[in-house]
Amino acid sequence: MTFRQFAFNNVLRNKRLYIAYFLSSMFTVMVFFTFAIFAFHPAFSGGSVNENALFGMAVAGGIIYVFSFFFVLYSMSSFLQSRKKEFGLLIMLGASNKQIRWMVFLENIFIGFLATVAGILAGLVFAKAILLVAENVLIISESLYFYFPTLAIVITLVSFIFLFFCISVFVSVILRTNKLVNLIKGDKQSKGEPKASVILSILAALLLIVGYGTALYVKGVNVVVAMVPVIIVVTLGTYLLFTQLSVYVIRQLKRNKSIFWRKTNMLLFSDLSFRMKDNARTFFMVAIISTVAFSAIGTLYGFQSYLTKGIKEVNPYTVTYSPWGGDSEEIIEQDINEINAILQEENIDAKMESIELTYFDTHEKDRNVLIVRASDYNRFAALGGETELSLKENEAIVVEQSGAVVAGGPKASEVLMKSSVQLDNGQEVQPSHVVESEVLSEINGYYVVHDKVYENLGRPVRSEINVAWKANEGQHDQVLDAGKKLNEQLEYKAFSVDYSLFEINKAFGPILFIGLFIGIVFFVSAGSFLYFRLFTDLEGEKQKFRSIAKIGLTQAELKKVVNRQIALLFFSPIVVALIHGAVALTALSHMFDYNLIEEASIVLGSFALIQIIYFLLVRFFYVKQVKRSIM
Amino acid sequence: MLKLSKVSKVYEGKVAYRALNDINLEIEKGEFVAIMGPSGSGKTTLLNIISTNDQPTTGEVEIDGKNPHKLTKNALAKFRRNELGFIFQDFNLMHTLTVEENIVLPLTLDGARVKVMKEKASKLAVSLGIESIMNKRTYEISGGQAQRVAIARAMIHEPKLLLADEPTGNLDSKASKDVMSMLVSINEKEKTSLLMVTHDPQAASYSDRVVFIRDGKLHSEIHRGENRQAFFQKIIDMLSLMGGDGNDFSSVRV
Repeated sequence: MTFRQFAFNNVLRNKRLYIAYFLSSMFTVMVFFTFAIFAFHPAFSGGSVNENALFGMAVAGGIIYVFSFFFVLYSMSSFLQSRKKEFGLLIMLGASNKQIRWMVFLENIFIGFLATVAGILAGLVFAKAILLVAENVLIISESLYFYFPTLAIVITLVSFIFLFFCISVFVSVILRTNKLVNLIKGDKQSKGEPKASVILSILAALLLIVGYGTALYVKGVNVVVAMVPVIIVVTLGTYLLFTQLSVYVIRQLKRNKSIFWRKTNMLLFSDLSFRMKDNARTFFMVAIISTVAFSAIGTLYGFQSYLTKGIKEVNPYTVTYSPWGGDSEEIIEQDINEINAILQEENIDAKMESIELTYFDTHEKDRNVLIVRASDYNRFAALGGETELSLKENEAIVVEQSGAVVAGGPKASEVLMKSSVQLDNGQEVQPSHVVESEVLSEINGYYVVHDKVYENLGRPVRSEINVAWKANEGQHDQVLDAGKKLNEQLEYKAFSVDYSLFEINKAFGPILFIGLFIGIVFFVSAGSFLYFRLFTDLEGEKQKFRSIAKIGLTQAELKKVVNRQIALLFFSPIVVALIHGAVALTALSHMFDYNLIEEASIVLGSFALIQIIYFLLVRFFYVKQVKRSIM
Repeated sequence: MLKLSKVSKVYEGKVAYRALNDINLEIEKGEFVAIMGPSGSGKTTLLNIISTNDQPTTGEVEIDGKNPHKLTKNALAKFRRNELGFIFQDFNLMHTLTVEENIVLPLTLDGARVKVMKEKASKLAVSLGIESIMNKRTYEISGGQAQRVAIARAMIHEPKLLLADEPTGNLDSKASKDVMSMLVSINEKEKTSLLMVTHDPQAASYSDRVVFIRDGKLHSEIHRGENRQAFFQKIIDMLSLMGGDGNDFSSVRV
């Protein structure tokens, strides 16, 4: 047996030990590869997707690659951690440091190569699925058909062989094998708890409170200014939370014997504090990575909804038409006829209403105000499906658009409420109250008055025609086609909501997809960190439960201990990340002054749900393994 | 106290192997019995069956009038930690716990009060001479100390039957002597029945009675008289009669 044979056989005949490391390496390769399949799809090279999206994809690919590097490095080091005893034995048998490094290097290259090949194969299996998902999220005209991704294969193969080579060199260089005694006792000796100081624990709480407070307090543009300092403060706070505050709490719990010595608590807490150093590091990493994932996906989703929902709210009609200022009546008539023709062409049933918007002088100079007849308003309200207004004579109602906030100045309604409607005969009608609606589009707000009052208003300063169409439900595809034609023939005059939304989604799709992809990669990696943490200690745990079972441990007690242990591991970082994410999204909603509660709860809720399912799955297998070992 | 009637154990496999064959054994309350026999004779199988770690294929085991093998898994776990005490060759201490925590573990699992646990632990620690290491971790103490901790853990809930599997197997002769005299004193003071499996004739000579088994069957038994030295000699003789030369065992241990 040569040394090389020894190294390879060590891997091949020890499959169980290496499988976790192998799988996680394979997983990273697979993620990168599926992304590459998507990014190098022939449909994109045709130039139908804009430059920015392609650049975004390149950046995303880079992020995934860099992240893969750290992820593999982490898996590697936690894997080596669990093999301390083996190295100790080898050194005791006379292996030199150089030989052990050489062995680790060979193993790594071997596993890395296998993982790269297996990852590409697995990626090919998922390729069709990922392309289907991409097609639906992206809203692109061409379909993303399946192709044989030669370029993606070559790039993945080359970059990951390179990555594993670098990591193998790196790990074998930094591998420390100094003290034999420590290696041999490696699994029994605790790495110790990090030093828990009261001051730093308080500081952790303070940092988090200050960070959260600032994030929740600032509004508007200040959010951008405060973002970087808040991120630094909260990251530091999170680190101290796990390395100091949690250690401090566990210490206090351990010191209190009536809690620590209560039934299975002793097993749980002793284990927690025994692994506190490793746990704290894992918790911190998982919390931060998950926060990044939550915030990224939440931001993108919230931003998309902000854009689309805003437009939808402001435009209750299918198509609106407003002519240029200088257009003559003939041109307007011609345009309206054209729109009607297009709608007919596409077989769209639509109702049409038109209105002459009349502007009148006010007390102030250079300011006109729109005044609308109640019957006209109600016609449009009926068309758009909004509530109609009933007015008394001598009453005026101020209407403003809910979405339209003039930055800086006073709100439109406030100005109008202070003013009044002047009649020809010198009388004035005071506005009674403010209504928010999107029936007519006028940023500065307007008055609605009774038809009889309107007759006494006198001559308007200027007037413009406004026409709106509302299609019946369930004609989405035809409306889109019509919208496209309208956009081509009457650009800027005729406006189709559905078509604009379609355009926005189309432009936003790739960004959303990439964001989603990276977010999910981060989240799943966070899950793998936890999995590693758990299964690195599995052998020790089995040993422990085997010894306790000999003294007598009921199934229920075993389940209780394992359950709490895994729950703590899985949920403490995720709960922190969820809170971080919720604060970040609240800050975001303050920046846009747009309510993101629905979007945030969808994103955070689905992540929480996934985590719970993951927890249940892992717990099931873990308990099974432990139970089997004590039988 | 402990009664085995016609206990047999067959290990299924391609070739079925009969590890124990119709064993009948009875231990009185407060008696100290050692089981000896060559490797592969079924000593450990017998102990596993008594300690409820393993099921007999046929036959009955009765501990204090109850058959533990008829209990449910959970009841069995409770039975183990209330009625039985275990001492293992490799100590089986939890390395995440301190010595004191290891000792009180069985009571903790049962939900005893902290004050009671503290008292019992410190009393045992004094009598076993380990009060100075109570706050140490298990990898900081020697083998002899570890076995005394294990004895303390096995004794803290005052079990009716103490089962020991090669308790001196990992210890030098001085530590062995200390551990054995502690077991004897516990046996005498607390009237705890003691069953010990051992290879070590020196350790076996502390018992009241030595049962020899070979090939899964009871071979013979000898009782201790007044003199421990003579008893030791009888054990050596019996071992050499069972397999090999008179100096086989003595060269190993004594």
